[in-house]
Amino acid sequence: MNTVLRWLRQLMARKVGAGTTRAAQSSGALPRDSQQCGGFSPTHEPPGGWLDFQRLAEGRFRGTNCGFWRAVESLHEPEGKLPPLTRPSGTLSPPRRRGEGWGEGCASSKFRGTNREPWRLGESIPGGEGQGEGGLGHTLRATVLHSVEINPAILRFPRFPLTPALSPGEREKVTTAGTNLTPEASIQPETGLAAAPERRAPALLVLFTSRFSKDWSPALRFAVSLVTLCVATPLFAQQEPGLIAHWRFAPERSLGDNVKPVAGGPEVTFRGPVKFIADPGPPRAELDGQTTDLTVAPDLSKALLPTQDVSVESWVRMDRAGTWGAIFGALQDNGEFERGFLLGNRDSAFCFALASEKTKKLNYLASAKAFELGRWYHVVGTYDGAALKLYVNGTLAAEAATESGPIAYPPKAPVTIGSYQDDDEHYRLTGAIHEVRLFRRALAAGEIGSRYAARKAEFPEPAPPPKLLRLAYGPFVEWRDRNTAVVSYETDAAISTRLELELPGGKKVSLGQDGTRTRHEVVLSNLKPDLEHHYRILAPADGANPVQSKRYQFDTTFYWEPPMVPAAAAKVAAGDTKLAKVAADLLKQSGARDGYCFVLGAVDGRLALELVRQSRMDVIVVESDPARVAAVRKTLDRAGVYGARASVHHAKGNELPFGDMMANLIVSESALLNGEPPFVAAAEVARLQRPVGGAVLLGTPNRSFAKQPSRTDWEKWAAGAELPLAKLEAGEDGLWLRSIRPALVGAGEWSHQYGSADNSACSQDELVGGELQPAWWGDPGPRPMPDRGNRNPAPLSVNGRLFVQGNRVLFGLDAYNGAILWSLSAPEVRRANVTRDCSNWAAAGDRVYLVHGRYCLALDGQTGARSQRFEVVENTPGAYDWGYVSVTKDWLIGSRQKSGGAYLGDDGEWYEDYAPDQVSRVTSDRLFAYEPATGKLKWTYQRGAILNSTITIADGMVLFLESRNPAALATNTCRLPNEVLTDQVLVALDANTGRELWQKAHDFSACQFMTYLVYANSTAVVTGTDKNKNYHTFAFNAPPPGRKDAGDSVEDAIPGRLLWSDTHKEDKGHHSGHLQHPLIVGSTFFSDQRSFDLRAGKLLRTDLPERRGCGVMSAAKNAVFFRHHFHGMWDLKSDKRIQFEGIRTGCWLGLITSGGMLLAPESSAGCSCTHAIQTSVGYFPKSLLKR
Amino acid sequence: MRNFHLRSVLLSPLLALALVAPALHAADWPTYAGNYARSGVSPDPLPTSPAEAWVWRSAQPPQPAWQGEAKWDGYNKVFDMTPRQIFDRAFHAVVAQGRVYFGSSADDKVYCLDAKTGRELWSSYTEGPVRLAPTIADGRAYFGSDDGSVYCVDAVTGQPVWQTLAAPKDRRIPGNGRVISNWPVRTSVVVMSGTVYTTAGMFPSEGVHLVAFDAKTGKELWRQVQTDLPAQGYLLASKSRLYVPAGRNNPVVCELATGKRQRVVEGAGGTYALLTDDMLVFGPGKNGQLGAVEEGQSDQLASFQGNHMIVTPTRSYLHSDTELSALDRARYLDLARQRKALAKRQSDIVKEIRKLGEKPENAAKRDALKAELTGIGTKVDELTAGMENCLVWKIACRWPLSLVLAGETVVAGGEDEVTGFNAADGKTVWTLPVKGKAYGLATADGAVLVSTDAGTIHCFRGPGQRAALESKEGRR
Repeated sequence: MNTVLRWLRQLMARKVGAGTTRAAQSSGALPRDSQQCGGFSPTHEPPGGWLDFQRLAEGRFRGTNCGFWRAVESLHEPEGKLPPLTRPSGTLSPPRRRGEGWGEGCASSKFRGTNREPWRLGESIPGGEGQGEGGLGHTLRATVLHSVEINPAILRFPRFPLTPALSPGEREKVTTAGTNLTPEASIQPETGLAAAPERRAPALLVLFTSRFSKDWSPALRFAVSLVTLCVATPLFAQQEPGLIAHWRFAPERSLGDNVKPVAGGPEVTFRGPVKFIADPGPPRAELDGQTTDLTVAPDLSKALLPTQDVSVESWVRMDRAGTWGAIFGALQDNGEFERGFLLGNRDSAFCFALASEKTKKLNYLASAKAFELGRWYHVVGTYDGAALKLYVNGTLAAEAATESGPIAYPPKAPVTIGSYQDDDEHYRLTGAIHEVRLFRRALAAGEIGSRYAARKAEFPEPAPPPKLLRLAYGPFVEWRDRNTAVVSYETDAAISTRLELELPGGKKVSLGQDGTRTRHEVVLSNLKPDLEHHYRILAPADGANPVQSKRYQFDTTFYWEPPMVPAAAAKVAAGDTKLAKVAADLLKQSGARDGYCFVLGAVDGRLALELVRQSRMDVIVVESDPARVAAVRKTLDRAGVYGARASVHHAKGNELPFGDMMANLIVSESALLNGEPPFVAAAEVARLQRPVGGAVLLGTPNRSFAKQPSRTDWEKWAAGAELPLAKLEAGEDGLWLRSIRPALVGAGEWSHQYGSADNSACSQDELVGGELQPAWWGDPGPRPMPDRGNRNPAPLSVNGRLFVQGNRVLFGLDAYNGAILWSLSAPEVRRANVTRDCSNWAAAGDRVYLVHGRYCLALDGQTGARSQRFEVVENTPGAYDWGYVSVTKDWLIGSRQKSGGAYLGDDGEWYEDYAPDQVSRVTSDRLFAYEPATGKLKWTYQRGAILNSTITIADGMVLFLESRNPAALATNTCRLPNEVLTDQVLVALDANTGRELWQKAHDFSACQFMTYLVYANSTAVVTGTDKNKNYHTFAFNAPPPGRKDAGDSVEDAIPGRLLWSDTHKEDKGHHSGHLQHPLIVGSTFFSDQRSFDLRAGKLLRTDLPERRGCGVMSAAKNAVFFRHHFHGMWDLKSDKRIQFEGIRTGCWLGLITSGGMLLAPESSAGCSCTHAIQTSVGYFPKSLLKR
Repeated sequence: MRNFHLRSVLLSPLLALALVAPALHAADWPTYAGNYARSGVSPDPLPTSPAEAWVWRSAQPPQPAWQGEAKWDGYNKVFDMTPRQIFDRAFHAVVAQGRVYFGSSADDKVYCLDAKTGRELWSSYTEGPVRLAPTIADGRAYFGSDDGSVYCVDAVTGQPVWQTLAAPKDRRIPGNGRVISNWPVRTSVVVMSGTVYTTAGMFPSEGVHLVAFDAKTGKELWRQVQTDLPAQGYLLASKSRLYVPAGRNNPVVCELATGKRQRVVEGAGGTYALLTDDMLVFGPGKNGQLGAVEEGQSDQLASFQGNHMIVTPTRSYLHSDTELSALDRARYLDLARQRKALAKRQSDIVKEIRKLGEKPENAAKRDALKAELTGIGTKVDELTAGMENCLVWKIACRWPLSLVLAGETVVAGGEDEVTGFNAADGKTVWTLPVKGKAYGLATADGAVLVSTDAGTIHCFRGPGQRAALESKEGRR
């Protein structure tokens, strides 16, 4: 082996210079193009017609010596037929870039100088062909042959020709130079260069033979070489005619993040967790459809694609049928621009698509027969310049003669295996690939049949496919402690189930309860933090078929509980039972559980410690006496809670440094233990109180710790301060000053997707505007959020709380201080593209109502506990889902839709384009109302297919558009395209009874991208854009029942009368400019970048704020919020526009106003930008703040 | 898997800028990464077989401000995105005069331990999490806190010397789960020539302050306010400039004397940064990539696939999620210099050719220039290839969290382990067990200090040192 290494080293050292010199000598004789290319153009050597290896070698060495390494590696390619060579580690430089193609890896330097585009070995030359072989062949043979100065006879050995990459011009020159190598011949592997390494091996063997026998006479060496070559060549001559590349996805072929080709090239680069499996066979790469990419070349220019005749042969197993998919693809299909070709699938059928120069359109040729999931198939697509054919399992499955001539390629496109990828789309294959072969000729039908027959036995019949276990309810995952979580779910039938937990690393654990039941609960213990886990629910098999749920994810990074109180805390607090009781009483009286507790005036910290032990609050002790500060710190430190759970701030004056309105509870240890009212003024205490329930509880219990301050003491302390609703009460437990702060006057709420159920996207908050200042910031950050919020349900905020939907994780936050009240992993809760649907939640009072499958759950706003459950009407399990939800104290209105129709957005879809799978509307076939308190059904409505995006509830009416085309209800899906949603009618129901009040048929067919309905002031406005991005707006008179009109005229009393309409081209032209949801603020209707008088339709302004990103506007009474580069605000009073730099919202409605605040939960998530901060944040208007 | 990769960009000539480090005991590590260039290099060798001398455990683990990056960029289909704000996942230790110092984001304190025994000598409270390591200079410890203040205490006793607000005012609100300043100090402090430099600020719309104080008195010397970027990550300094990491965004370069902004460098963002003699290297962007920006420039000159880098006059060590590699730096820079000169000539020729236009009378001159261009292209390719062959060694490395160089040992931190490699050949010298993910490494006096996300600080020493210390302790 050392001999080999020495030889390789010598070879490298010796030949770099030689090659360069020879190139320089010969450059004068080259065509001009070649000179410009650094003398790297081949010439021919008559009479054999073979190429000038010296120049190739020169080119090779000039780039990098890694090609040499590759040459050595390639000796392994014939799979054991040559004695293995060990990689000469440490003696040669490794390939410069792993993961790039063979050719490029060997010679990717800019050979061509600078006066034209860099031209690389292995790259395609514009208009040229055969370049792939060039890349492969050049490197290997040029290196070795040149280096060992082998007898030229071998160069002319007919089984070992070379084909360089030639531009048409170069080929022409070559041909006219009088050689016998025609341009065609020069690019055909079967007559020219052998692409497969099997062809290279004999020559290398000869080289080695000749090298190692250097002590022999020249004649003997040559003779032995020739004999060896003659003997060896047939052994390795397994070249398949026309083969460009053969990739087999087996473990032994994967190297780092590359897959080595069996023949041809280049290597395939993979990204993501590709699993290579050898046994049980067939060897394959398993692709998860989500995260894995196999890239042949990042761009066509580096790929080895034929100009016309082509075959793609594959063995593949599909585990999921996507609308679009590719086994092998090199295409662009972007609107009107269609180029390239692919072998893949459309829905459940294999397809072969190709755009020829004749049509320049991708003709998708699909098999009439659907494929079976989980079954191996032999799929081949062929094109011979005239006929396009698709073969499945050796049999012709489809053919077309629409195309002719060369393949029309796009200027650029990635060449991929297992994914349909162009500039606009990226759909990955879920399944497995055994191998892919690419040919520069159309395989014949008989040949394909034989190839299938020869190998079909290697591919086993699929195991009986698992049947989907559809859970009735759940799963939900809730934490018990940092290492333990509980998974709960329900099944319709009483069955025994197991939970199969996949630990990080792939090991599976089976967990569960014995016996049959409908309600199941499984404890996950010993969980490691910061790792992703997956799990399935397994039910008893149905015959041979296993029965299992979807695969769910649970991430132990997502833990937002307060830091644990260590055992030491109990020791420090031991014996303080009286204080513990008082602390419990304070917590009970205030109702405070989470957030921030201020202890104003301290003694030794025992009260703070008890509050930490008994609540989830962060306790802030504020004290002016340095000695007491030290004492409290000591207590809390000894208990192991200092810092993360409790801290002491040393007050240095009468004014506290804390921002306004953040405290959930304010108490005083000095009052409690020493009978001293807090050292700070009552006004400061009141300033800290959070609206909607922030409590101040100051007093000294009877017969306990200290002499009580007198009523006069307290009155004196509180004098002049405005402690909201404060009461000084003497009772059995002593004299107590109690104050609970109510909601801010003028504050609004955001209870539904677009503010309220009227869809006006206005919170009616009167307080937010002017200058804003952060009130809090923090979690949730980007990690649990869906990427950029692709038209996701908006956050909600009522009653001083903020509710946020992450990616199947829900959060309840304190709106005034950002404290996370609860989080819930609910993997079945997801909705996207609300532009064509509606949100899946609404909130009222202390509850959030969340759609979950066929149910709507009432969650406790403070704890996240699931307190009540409502079921969709007239339900058949598995057939229907709950669609729309709206809630007030009087009714819970829902809709019923066919199961599985909601958009999920799991593949990062943007829903920006005009395509059926993006603009089809989700529709419902029932509307119904429950009494929230009793769960009693009040009414049900059914007639047409109701567009979820239009359901609007206000002034005692339920308004919506429905399609009365019978076909709309007859289909088996609730997601309907425009063609089906004809005969649309605007309907008004009485919200109390469900009785129809009136209806108005109108032509809404121009609303093609989306349809919105918003309401205010007896006016219902329908908006949408057509596929050319023109806005169409229709305003109808919609007086509420019992109130005739909004005006005085007789006409105003006519419901459904068209008040005005408008059509205009979208103003923005990009990033959802055509998808804007309108706003109504007061009597003004805002849409796109325009505003109108709501009733009269008069155009008021055309200069609404520019919006750079994909977001949509929201409003309060005095301000409009939007995303430009960053969080943006337009103050309507001052007409001033500002941005909050460094932080952005997501791609739908992420800025909401409620409770006097602007709330901006993080939703930029996976944004590739360098926005400096990614955090949830709450802003206060400075006008409300004292500090 | 991330691989070593040098982007084909041109490097500038060396500018003779010396690394700036506090002038202290040679074995000290008085500030994060050893000096204000944040080089992570100590000249002192490490023992050949270190073992744990002591371990310090926090009652609560570190409470980082940020949880991490999003799981994926769905639009661009980028997975496993690298967190760009990693500066407070462990209690980074510094060492001076036989004492170990660190700040705690869990209990808001700065600690001083006896470096020999790990015994606590003193601790000093602030009123917010201390997320970054203190700096020791002239017998004092300087540190900032999320409470918006900068503190100066006696390094031996912990007694307060001065405390002052770096924030423009004392306004405290809930931030990252704690009640902290509207303008937290999250860049640590730099102390040079009697001046303390620091920053305060999170929201650009609220103003982000770069402030200088007199090191002796705490008196404010100047204050600059930026309104576009926050300040998060360890502050860096050269003799004439301050470099302010900006969270997920790119660092800001300011004049040391006045704090006036000079430029914002270009790159993919991140709080990890170090200064070499002629450039700022920072990242890790969203995919674990370090960008190098030449002194005086804004645009990137080179990028490297990796999360950390150690640069010495002769070698660079690059640390990715899976690999550790060494580069012959001198050779690389020599080739880079040559290449840059050629590239300049290339550019000039192209301009000349353009000037000549297509006029037939210029054909000969044009051809000559083209020929020259071809020759230069060849040479540039050779140089590029040469640069790419400057790799001295590369090994698989499963300790991707932190990296320092002490003497001839490269130390890499991983999960539950740290490993030392021979800098000459990349061979493993030793592997030591720790509890948790080793996000922090420091070396001084022949000891390795490892800080983890479990809130532990492990001190490892050689057997000789331990025996000597034990006998000393015994005599006491």
